[in-house]
Amino acid sequence: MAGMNMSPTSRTSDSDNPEGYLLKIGAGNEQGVPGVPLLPPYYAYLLKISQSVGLVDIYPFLAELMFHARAVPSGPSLTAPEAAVNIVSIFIDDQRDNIANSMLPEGSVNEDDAFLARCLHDESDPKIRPRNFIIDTFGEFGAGDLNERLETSIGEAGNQSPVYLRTSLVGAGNPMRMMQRFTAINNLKEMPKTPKGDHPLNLGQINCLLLSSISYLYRTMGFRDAMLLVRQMLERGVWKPGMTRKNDGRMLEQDGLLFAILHEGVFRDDEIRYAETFFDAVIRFDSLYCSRWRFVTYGFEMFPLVGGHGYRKPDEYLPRFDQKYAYLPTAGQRLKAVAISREYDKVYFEQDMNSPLRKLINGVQCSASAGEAV
Amino acid sequence: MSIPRGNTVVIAGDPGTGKSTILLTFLRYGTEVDGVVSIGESVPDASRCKVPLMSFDRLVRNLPSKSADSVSNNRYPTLRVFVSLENSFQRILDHHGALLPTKADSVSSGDLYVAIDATSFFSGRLEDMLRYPQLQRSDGDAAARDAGWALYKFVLGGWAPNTDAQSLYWQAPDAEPKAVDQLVSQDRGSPGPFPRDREHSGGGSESNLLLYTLMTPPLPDPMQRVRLLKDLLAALYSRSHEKYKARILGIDSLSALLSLMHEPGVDEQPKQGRRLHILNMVRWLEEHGVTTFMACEAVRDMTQTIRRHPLFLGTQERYIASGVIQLDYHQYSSGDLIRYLRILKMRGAGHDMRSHAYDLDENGLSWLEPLFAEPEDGR
Repeated sequence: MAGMNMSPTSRTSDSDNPEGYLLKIGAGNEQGVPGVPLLPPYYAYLLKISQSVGLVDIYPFLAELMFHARAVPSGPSLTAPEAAVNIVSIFIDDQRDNIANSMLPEGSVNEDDAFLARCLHDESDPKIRPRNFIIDTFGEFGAGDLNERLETSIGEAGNQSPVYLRTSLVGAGNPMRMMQRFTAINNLKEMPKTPKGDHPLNLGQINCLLLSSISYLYRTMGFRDAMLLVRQMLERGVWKPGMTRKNDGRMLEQDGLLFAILHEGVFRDDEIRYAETFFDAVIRFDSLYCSRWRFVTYGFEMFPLVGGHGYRKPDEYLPRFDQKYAYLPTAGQRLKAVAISREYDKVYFEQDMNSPLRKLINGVQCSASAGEAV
Repeated sequence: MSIPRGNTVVIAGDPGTGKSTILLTFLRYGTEVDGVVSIGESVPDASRCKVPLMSFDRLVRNLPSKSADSVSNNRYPTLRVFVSLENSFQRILDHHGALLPTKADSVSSGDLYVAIDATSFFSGRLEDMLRYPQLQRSDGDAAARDAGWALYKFVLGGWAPNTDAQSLYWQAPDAEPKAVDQLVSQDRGSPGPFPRDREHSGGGSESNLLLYTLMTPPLPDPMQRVRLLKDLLAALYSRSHEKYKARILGIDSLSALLSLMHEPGVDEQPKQGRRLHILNMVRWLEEHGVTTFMACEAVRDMTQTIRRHPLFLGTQERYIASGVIQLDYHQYSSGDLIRYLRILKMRGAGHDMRSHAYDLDENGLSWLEPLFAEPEDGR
């Protein structure tokens, strides 16, 4: 949380996990999303979107977070096994399936539920796949959900699919209802059983909340209530430093991080500055127009002060502020970003035929010619 | 929740805030230990209610008036009495059946549950029975029996159109008229309606769930209703105090018990008289160590406000009761509503003054968290 400036190494020890975990975005066979270091828990990360970037443009980045994040043990060992992450996503006026759709090659999985399809498509080890908990605001009052319990929707295919849980709120204008679901999820001790009665999956080792987005909250309930909700989630959520841990197995007892999206164009400047005081890190997304191409760039504007003593390599947990990273916001592919300098502009793109962005474009064109969906 | 024994707690709120549900929750789960009634401790681990009830317990803390030496952790068998004046027992069974105890619950806990269906005070059940005998339904009684309740019907002995209210007393059906303190079951072959009589008749182990259905004409005078109810409770308590030393009473609702049945052109009873009825009942219950929960309709009164917030209870109840739990709605700028409660008063205990959002389901209180987003304009 902003202002805490706690070192990850100063956390309360856990007998099962003496070192704690860091969050690694993007995994699988790759090394993670370029430019995003291992992220320590107890901090809030703001994904700030400029006016020239739409929410859909950052879906590839969010998809890396939701489908490919891993918990990486902190400490000096580089060979310790990775673990699963609990991803609690709250979608205000945004379909959860949008993110899944952004990653699905067209026709690759014949499934009505894009999120389920994406989960089925994941061939990584179920033990380390993210555990997804999804709250959206497209619920309807029916006979079965008047009491607004957590309704589970299970994606399963034997052991090939991770189980996820989703629940829908009716409308987006009630922050306490969101807090209610948030608390209910935080009180879970394991993933729900599948309809087949399979053994429930264990929870992941670290929690990650994705709030999409503060701007939509702002639109439905005003600035004050929106920021109150963010503050309450920070205070009562999974990233409360120094809390007395009961270790009763609830998700709430684990380390956590918060990601929240904010559209610059929605807020006044002073409101943005106020909102930023809640966050420890800021990743800003912007557009870069070069010739006929449009790239989305991201780079760290702010990062918490973390102690790097005694664990891993320094460059794994510190961002490079002199660079930003560019990608083409295309559907059906994992995020591929290249590093460019902060001052990179259209002139440089025109002059340098071997620039990183040229290679990125060439890669996309090669994929398209090979018959893959782009 | 650490409500001191003998407190009279008013649960006041608007329609739909869950007064009856919360009252039944307290009645079902309230447990008296060392002179303090709490609700979270008695709930089984498997119950979904555990977390919110435990949360509710934290809202009220008993003042440290007891020395450590006096703490004995004694839990006595509890007599739990629920008086319904607005909804018949059949309706309660339909809508709040999950909150009513089962026979197994009562046997395992050793508690005695008594439900008093007093809707007759308003509806005139007796008159209906006499006027429309062909419409009398027996399925309601059958449902109650199936749920494990032993049924008793009480009629007013000596009732006649010109009878003075002072002389009204209860009488079991088909019995010779007797004053309430002489009331016993006339059928020696079956257990009587009161605990001591049931034990004497050898039927004490049959059921710990008793349903008393009152058969009266409509009673327009609140004092008459209060007196008749007190008569019945007195008979019940006097025949149970040796075994059931803890007593919890729920009245749904105080508003109904004390409301006036107006006729056009008839003046309302002076407010002072209404206050006397409340005082009389509250004092009587508190003197007998009965921890009482009373549902009460909120009355908006813009002159009784804190910073223009209608703290409601424009009635007398909040001054007289030992505790007041306010139930209300909060409206967000989006127009969405959420229920919240606030403990305004708890005599003899410290309590949290913040608003807490809550939710209800068939098992009672299902969620409780501090409410955020207070209205900016102090509405």
